[in-house]
Amino acid sequence: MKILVCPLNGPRPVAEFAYGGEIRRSPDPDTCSDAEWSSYVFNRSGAPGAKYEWWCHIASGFWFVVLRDTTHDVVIATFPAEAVRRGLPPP
Amino acid sequence: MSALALKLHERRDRLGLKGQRAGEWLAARGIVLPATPNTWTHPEETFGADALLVARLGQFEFFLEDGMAGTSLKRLSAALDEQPPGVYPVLREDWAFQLGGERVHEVLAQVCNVNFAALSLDSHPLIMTLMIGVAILVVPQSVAAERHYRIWCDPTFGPYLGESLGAVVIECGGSYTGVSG
Repeated sequence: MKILVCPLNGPRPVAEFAYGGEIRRSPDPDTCSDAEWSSYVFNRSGAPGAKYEWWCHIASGFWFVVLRDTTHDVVIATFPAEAVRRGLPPP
Repeated sequence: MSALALKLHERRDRLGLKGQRAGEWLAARGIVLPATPNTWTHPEETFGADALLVARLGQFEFFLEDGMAGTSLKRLSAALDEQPPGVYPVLREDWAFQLGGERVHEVLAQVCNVNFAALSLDSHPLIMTLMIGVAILVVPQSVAAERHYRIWCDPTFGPYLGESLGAVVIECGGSYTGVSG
């Protein structure tokens, strides 16, 4: 059983979580070009490596940040969502 | 040790509160709040009929359930009509169950991934997890030196959770009572 450590609820089986996608900074919709905006909306980077991702603990509805090495599917660290506002270090 | 039993709890007043000022607002009304998320407080260890259970689900989120004869939540609900800033009521129409008795941990091990037998009750832990695929809130309590589990879930999943959990309880030699919601 794979275990993910939720910053609020502690270690739980991964079945209790939902993946919310990679954390990506959006371009300013008022100033960016149509090409930049469509790239943000439609394109994703599939390159493996350490990435910040949104995950949600389904039972409590708690969203948090996971730093995951997608090459080996290893969770490096988890953070509360406030970490995004404070600024995440480069993965 | 009493016989294994799952009971649907009688209807009680419940209230959810969210918001940056929810804790402050409750404290100003004399409600004793749990200090940390995922813990609960109860004014009396004896769980009297009018006792109010206060659970902290997050830094700014609370779940409250009145006792059978309690009036605290009626008073709080009336005060919420003033729409205090930073305090947002959450409708809670949960179904509530009580599970306890002999072989209770055997039942829980079959329906949930959390090892409830290993929990220490000293810190008044509150568990949010999945049980048979349903998001639930669990408060373990010690009543007359026996461990009981109070379980809440969304009302739309109530019949499914009751029937499925009840089937496991019955398989383990226990009983399931109450379907009135």
